[in-house]
Amino acid sequence: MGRVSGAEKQEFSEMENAEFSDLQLICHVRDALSAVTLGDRENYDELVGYLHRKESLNPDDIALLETTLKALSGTVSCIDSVHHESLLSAVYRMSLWNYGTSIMDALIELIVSLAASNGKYIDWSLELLVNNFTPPYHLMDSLKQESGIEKKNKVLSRVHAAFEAIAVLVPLAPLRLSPIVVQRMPLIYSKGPEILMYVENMLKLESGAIGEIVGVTMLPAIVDRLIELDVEIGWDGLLQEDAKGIFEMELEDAEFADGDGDDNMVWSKIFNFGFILMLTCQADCIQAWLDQAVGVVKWLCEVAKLHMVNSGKRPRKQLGHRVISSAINYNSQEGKSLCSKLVVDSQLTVNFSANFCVNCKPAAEYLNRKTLEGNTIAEKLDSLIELTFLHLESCQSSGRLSEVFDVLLRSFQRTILNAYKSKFTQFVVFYACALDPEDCGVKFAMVLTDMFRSNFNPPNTRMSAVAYLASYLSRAKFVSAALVASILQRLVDWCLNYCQSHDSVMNPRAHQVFYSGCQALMYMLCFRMRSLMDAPRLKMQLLNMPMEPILQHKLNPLKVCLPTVVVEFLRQAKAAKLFMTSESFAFDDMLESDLSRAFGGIDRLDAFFPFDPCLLKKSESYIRPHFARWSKIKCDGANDGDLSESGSDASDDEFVDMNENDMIEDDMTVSVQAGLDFDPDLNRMSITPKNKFLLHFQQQNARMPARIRPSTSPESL
Amino acid sequence: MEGLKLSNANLTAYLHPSKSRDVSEAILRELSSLLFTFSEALDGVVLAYDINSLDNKKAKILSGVIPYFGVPLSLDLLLFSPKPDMLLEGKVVKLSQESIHVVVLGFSSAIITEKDIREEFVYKTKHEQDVYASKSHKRHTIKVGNMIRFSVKSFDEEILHIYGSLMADHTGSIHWLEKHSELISHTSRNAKKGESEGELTTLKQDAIDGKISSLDSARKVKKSKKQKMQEES
Repeated sequence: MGRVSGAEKQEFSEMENAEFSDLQLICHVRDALSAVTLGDRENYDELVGYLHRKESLNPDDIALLETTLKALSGTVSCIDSVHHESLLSAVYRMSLWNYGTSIMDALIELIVSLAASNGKYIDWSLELLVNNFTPPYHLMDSLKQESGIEKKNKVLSRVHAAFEAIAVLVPLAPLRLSPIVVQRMPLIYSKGPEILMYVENMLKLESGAIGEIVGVTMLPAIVDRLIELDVEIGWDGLLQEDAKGIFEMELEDAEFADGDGDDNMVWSKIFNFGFILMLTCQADCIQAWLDQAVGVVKWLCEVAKLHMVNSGKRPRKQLGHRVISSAINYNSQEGKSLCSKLVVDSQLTVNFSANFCVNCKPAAEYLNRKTLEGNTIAEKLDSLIELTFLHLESCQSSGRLSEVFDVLLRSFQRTILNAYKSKFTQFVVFYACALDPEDCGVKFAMVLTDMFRSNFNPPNTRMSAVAYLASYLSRAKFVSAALVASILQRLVDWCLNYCQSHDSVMNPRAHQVFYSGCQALMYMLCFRMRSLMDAPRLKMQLLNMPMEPILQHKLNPLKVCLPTVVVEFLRQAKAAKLFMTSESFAFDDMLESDLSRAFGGIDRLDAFFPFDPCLLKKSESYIRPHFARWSKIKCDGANDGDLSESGSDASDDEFVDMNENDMIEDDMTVSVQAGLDFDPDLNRMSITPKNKFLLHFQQQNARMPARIRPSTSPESL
Repeated sequence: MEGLKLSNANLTAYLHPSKSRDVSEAILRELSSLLFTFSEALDGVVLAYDINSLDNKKAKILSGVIPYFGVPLSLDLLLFSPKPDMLLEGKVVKLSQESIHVVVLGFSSAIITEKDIREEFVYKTKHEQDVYASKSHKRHTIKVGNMIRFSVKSFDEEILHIYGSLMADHTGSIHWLEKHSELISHTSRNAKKGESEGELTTLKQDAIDGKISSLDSARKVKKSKKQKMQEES
């Protein structure tokens, strides 16, 4: 400032009274600004010039800039948006990240004063502050260091304090802030750190002083972004490469040996591998190979009949590939019947046929390019979910979790519930429930039950809701058995009511809501029967529930619901002596997969288990302590001897140790790392992929593998 | 305080067919979206509404791709419409050499710039507190947190921002003004009384999808506290 009025500088070089010289500065700036309207831009341009300096490392420049900014703060009412456009744009381009704290403070003061002085500048100021959520590109990398983190804290604390200051002066500003923040959210294809930082800021806004007004829009916007990332985790181009290789392989490569029926373990590994690869394929990519692969199907069935054992170099992979081809060709009638017979012959469970019956859905997003991006998108999603988890934890410690959960739940109902390909986003709600089981956990279950029972909701919503309910109550360790019993009671009552008011025969499409309700019942009981039977009061309640009339009704849910679920349920019911006539239901239903497919509809809501284990590494570590894994419940001598007694809460340590013994090839792991869904497998089979990602996979002691639902996979138990 | 008025309006709310299951909730939501926004038709910022009656049986269904239906309503509305030279009261939130920032009714921000503050007031910093002190009346001070009365220069309808002035003599700290009301001239206040008689006006309300229905309404003007005080004193 002193440079401009050289003469004045001499006069005030000795500052007797600090205020006096400030006043002079302000007057000078005011004159400069008003002079512009008269055409005299000299002083004004010089002012603007000071603002453009970015490399102001020397203290003089810093002081100059600071003084300029402070003087401008004192003259905001003279700043006109038209005449002083260059000044405003110069200020707009200044990023807090480039400067030291003194300039940061001066700049913030200017922004706040501008916002308060004139309604025109409110949006401008808010946008400027939102621009400072993320640092400029050249500073992004430095964030990983200590100095970078310190800088970040300085900048962000000032930015959020500025929001509060503006809110005090202009009470309606937060209302205008919400749309600005949401509009400027980075797209899912932006770099990971940028998205993360921005979302971190959004969460900070949500929990900050203006959170009451702004928070209601922040969380749903974040959840929307999570969903967008989630559905982008598509199917890996790697698969297609592998699969094409099948047809070049020699069919005689694998050695055949007459194995016995006991070698389920190895056999299961083959199939699991196949499922993993197969179930992530989509119909479009398969079409091309369908014709070619028919022969392979036949071969495979022969192989299966012989209970072939792997040998040779990378045997599992080869066989897995063969499985894949057979699976994708399953559309052919011949293949189908072959496989059905195969299942019965080799004493594999019905799941095999169920799996292979699955018709892959047409894929909207089958791109090879996605291979490269698949990894990064999964990582972004993982980090974002982790960030959200941490935020939920902080909400809980500050006692706000209940309100935040309400917002989250509304967002869930609007977006996640009906986003059929949502794989991981729902775990945000799961974690929130885990943090507060009494309140949030119960609320979630109740809301889902009411959604299911309400006639006003469209059928897909109801089916989806009950699928969420079943998966949630089965997998949530923190949910009390009493709650499960009461929800079961309500479901049973609803189903019974439905049966009594609908006197018609089995029709999967027409009664899909009913069938989904029955399946949910059975699924929940598969997981929870043991804990319910252990408590005497709940056992009585369970025994008194009128499930027999439902299951024996003309509508015949046992034939329509997914065979795996049905079989497992009946097995457990028989062992628990739930129904006296369970024997008669035993294995009639194996081949009804067509019907089960039909009731699910195009979205395959019949095979929808949303809370199957989370595949994202970081998020999974948060979920793990609250998540119930499947384990075979020992039945009294009813089944194979090799069932383990271990309860469903096997310790993770034991799990990890055993995991290391069985590895699968690395390129399998790679494709899984892309966050794919895969479906390990069926009832008595176990898979043993190596993987820190696949921690939930079960062991050879026949623990039920967990599975994620891709669009086409069958259920897991 | 002037600028507040109570109106009775007959409106029609046009609702999407998907809302037909729960009409009351949909109407409340539509009305809530009006709050704190300036409505040209109603000539004011809607602060509060109270539904007198809504006629469920006579909703007219519009023809069109989406058959919205219009539910006639009768509402009482509290409107805020500051006009130039009105006197408003607000709380001071920030004082500086250059300006006084005030918040009116908790939602509307007002600014009084230095050139609109009369010579009588001088900016000082006393005991680390910013204060505008009057030169002629020692007790008359304006600090952060005080309620002041100021007159309106203009009103930005989009952001609900008021530009105010403290030039007139009867503006300033309310606390001091009320204690010394006899010192303030009556002439300026008498001019305001003319507005208080009720008039019939026709109001139009733009409905959700832009259709206009013309309505009759009666407007009652709420007497301001200040005027009541005048009458008492």
